[in-house]
Amino acid sequence: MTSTIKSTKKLVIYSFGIGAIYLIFGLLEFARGLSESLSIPWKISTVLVSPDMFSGVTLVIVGLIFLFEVHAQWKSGKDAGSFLAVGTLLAAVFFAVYLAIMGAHAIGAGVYMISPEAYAEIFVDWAEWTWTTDMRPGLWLFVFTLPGAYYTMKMWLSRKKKT
Amino acid sequence: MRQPSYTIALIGNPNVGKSVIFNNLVPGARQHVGNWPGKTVEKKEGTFTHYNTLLKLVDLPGTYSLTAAAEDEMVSRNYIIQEKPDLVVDVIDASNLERNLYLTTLLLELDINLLLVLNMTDIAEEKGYKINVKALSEKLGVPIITTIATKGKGLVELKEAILKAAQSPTKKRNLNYGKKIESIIASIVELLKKDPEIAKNYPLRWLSIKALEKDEQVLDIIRDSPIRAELMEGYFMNANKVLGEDPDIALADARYEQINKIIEQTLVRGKRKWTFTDILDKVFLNKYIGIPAFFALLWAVFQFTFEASAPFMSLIEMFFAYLSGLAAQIPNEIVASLLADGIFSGLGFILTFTAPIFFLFFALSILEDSGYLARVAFVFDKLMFKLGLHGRSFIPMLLGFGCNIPAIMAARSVEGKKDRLITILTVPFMSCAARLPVYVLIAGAFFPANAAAAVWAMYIIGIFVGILFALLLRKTILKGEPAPFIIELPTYKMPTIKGSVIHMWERGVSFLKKAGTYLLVGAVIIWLFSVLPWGVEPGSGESLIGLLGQTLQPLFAPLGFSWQIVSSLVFAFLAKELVVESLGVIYGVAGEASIQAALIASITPVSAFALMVFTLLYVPCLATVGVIKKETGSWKWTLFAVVSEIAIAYIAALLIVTIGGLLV
Repeated sequence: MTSTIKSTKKLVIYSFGIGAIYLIFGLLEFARGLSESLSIPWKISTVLVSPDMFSGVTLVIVGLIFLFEVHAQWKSGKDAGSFLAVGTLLAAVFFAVYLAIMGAHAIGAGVYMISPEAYAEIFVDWAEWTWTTDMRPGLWLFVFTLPGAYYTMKMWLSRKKKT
Repeated sequence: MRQPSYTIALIGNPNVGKSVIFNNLVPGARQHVGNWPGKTVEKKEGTFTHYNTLLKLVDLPGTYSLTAAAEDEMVSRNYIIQEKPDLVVDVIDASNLERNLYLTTLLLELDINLLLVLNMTDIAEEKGYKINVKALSEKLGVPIITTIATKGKGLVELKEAILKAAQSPTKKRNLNYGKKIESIIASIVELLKKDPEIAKNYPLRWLSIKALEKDEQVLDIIRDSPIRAELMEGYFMNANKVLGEDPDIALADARYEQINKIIEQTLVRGKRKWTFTDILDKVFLNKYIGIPAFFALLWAVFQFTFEASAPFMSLIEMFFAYLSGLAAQIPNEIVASLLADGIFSGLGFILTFTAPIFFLFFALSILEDSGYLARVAFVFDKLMFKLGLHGRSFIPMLLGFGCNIPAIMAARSVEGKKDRLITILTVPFMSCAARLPVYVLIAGAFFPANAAAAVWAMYIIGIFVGILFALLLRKTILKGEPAPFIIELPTYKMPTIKGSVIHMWERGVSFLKKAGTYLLVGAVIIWLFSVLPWGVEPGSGESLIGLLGQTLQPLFAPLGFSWQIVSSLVFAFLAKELVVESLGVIYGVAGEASIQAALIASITPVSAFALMVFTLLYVPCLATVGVIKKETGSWKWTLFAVVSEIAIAYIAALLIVTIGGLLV
């Protein structure tokens, strides 16, 4: 009984923490995107907060899903783990998409370097590409969701066993 | 050519795995399989051989019943009654026995040679179900085979059973609807026997039941029969009195009573296991999170489509730039111009968009195969029903993201003529893959920092305009209440790379075929228009294309479109990709960057956005117009669709230019 309460408490704190981080960075990304579209630059590195309003909104949505976990636990604990699992899944989807984009752009940069001069112009968009160009919160924030993924998997397996 | 010895029809509820079974049995079959109901709206045929016997297999559209309510149900029913296949294979979702057996009872009423396939037994097991297959077979009087079609299990046994059942048909029927109903049916059967024409052509028990249910098609059959008056006045009136309620209600109750009795005796429900589907549905069907989660996922799809495909577009562009360079060296000027300016600049340019189109289809296939898309229809249903729309319409609308033509055909699964018509008229607002090249080109030129978001916005605008237009129709010329929406939510499945790549290829290859045929011819026609009359500067104002564009341009002047753009929009009436193709030819430049530069010099960013919206909303292509005519069966509605789409596109673009002009 005590261990259940402890684990529930841990889950609530974790979900709140990860939800808040996603929410904050989502809002920052949105604000920076809006601000830079109005030609007001920020001095923070784009790796930390990239200027992308829409990406910011998606992070906010993921953050809200994590925060719903807190609400679900608070209310009854009946749906415990569902919001955490889906939040983690969505975070993984965005991570995979951003990683695929990074990989594709790396190919573009590679071809620019080796392509003959006559065709280099076609790949000029990636002339100055480095791995930090495509680094954004949706990528590195994913690392923080891994404990949640582990918990979800454990929870799912134990429920499956019980039933 | 060898004629098949037997014809086998595959029938079942939507999304029970009929198409998977069809693809597994028929060598080389590539029926589109997706994890959501309502994909197959037309029957598909194929053949397979077993022990040197050639069998024809017909995959019928998924159906919950055999009434005359929806067109896809009619396709299945008419096929069984009119074509009289040697064997009907009823595919049943073992994890949803009660609902699936309803169709089985209807099939048993037809007195046909029937074989049952209990598919998805793994999911039934996951749900804790234990089915006594032998007892079920005995109760129904029908042979049963168990399969897990997605894993290829039980398919060899299925082939054996099909051949055996086709060779030695049995029509033993074990269902009994109770004394009262059975005696009424028996008396109507006796009466129907008096009409030799009817007795020869139809299963009389089924005809009696359907006549009792006042099935319109069946009433049409007996309309000219000499026994009609006796039947209508004597038997039907008597049936109401004896049963004490409408016969159709009494019959439905009797069927469910039978089903419940059979299930009680053959199915043991263990404790339900907690599934991954339960976890995901808690969130994806949540009334607050469901819709935002969909928009976020859709954004991820377009981010992937636009950003990840860009280097591959450049690789294709490099290939055609190389070919164009080679063609330019051909001594014959006309041939060199046709190849370099017409085919490699026009068609070659459109082919660079193969990359984002394939990427989009790959991402959509993942969503579809996972079972998520069916949830989207569900979460939008509440909103759509409040607006007076049919939730089922959302499935054809989502299908429209790939191509509007199959999406319009999928409207056959929508019950009710008005709901079906509304769906057909709204699907063209869904952004198909053919429009993607236009967005990618313009968004990349005018909104490079938010290009993926601009493309995403087009899809969202398409959905909202579609819903608003449907609402307008519902409130004006197609008044009425929408039918309640029932959708079976499939279990989530982990999409496989192989499956998603196959689906991507199935859809993407149609773009390549189009490029090799219509778009190639289009490129040549556009090139001819740009160089005729001979001697004028290609693509100039003096060429035919220039004259055409300049004549129509005043109409589009309020939108800020140049004559070059107007010309490309005219050609795009044939196929949307021709916007991009013709711009390449008209501007006389090759490569994405050069065309983008020409566009930037030609229109403002606000007009560019208006152009994207205009392309999104006006008539998708000539083929779509043809399908609207075919599906509505009316020139009036076809014309209405064309005119309304052009008008809405123009008004929307004008609003953007006016409001945008005030803001910028």
